[in-house]
Amino acid sequence: MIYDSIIIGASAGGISSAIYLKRQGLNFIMIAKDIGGEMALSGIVENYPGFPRTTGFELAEKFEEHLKSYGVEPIIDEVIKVEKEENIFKVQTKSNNLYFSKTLILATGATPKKLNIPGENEFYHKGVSYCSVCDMPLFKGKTVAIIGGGNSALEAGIMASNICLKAYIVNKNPVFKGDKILVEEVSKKENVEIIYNALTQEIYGDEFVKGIKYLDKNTNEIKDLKVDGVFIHIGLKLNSEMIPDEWKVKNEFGEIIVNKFCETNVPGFFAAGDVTDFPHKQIGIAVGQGIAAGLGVINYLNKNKI
Amino acid sequence: MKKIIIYTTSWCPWCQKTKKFLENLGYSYEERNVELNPEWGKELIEKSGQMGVPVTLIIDENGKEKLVIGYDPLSLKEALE
Repeated sequence: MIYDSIIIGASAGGISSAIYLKRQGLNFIMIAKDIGGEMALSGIVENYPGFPRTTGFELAEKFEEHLKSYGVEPIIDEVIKVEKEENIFKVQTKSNNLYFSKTLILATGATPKKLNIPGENEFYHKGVSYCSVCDMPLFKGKTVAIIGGGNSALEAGIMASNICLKAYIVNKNPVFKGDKILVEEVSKKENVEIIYNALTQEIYGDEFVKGIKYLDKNTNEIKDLKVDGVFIHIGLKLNSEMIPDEWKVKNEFGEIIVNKFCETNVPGFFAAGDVTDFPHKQIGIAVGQGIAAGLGVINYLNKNKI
Repeated sequence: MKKIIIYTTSWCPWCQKTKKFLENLGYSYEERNVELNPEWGKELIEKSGQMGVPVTLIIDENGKEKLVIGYDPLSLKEALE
């Protein structure tokens, strides 16, 4: 069967596209590793209109409920390869299923970036975590290192100040990229020490994490921090690996380059949300782009009569 | 009947997802929020050998234990069969 469209991803962008496609009566499927994606991990959300104070999880639940009210049930699987032959997209999944469609919407978002240093994988969940709100409470009265220089690292620092005995924020840059208000708040915490110009080199331990080593860029020395936990918040990696490089739709960061209609240079291929090159990664923006991509697909199918 | 225990923390979205997943399948469970009781935290580390939540412990009729670490619907389904 050749579907009118395949939506890859079931978070803010993908779900918004799906609602528009369904209302138009198109024959489409959604394939996603999970419903809600990164949105569900957003913690407290206070900037999504209509919801003065909610959590990413609650908002993701509402989105899912809305999607399912239209009878759309995403296929839980991972897309590993995408090709285009003639005018038809071929989508291959990890479970070895093949699906075909006339159009494609990529709304796969992003996942936490790794440091790619020794010990990071070995001590994952043995002191290494990418989710402070999940795992920080397990480090009550202990010492942790938070790696990063943006808002997530600063928020983790504030959280750690209330739970842990001591927290280090290890920032590879001389300044924070995060919001000034958060930097000020963290700076006031007596049990939080900020280390600037520090490049994390290694995470070590035995059964669990015992410490990290970092390069002090000021002195060019390798230094050691004894910590029980390491929380890594160094930004997000775009989930666009399955899109072939020869399509020439990705920029240097792996973001999908889209125009204001969320179209790409490949006819019939649209993208929405965090995975696009739009500079601001916000739930509200993903929703808007998802709608634009959905309407773009409808327009494309009407115009091309395929 | 199988007994299900989930080790959680208060703000962990994956814990909420795991609970919702089990509820949707009609299972009841006992929640052990490690923030509320440090003994549960120790128990979590002893049982799973790691320090992440959620962890779901499934104990069958014969007392045999199965562990699922993280939010992992496929492994949970398998462990509950």
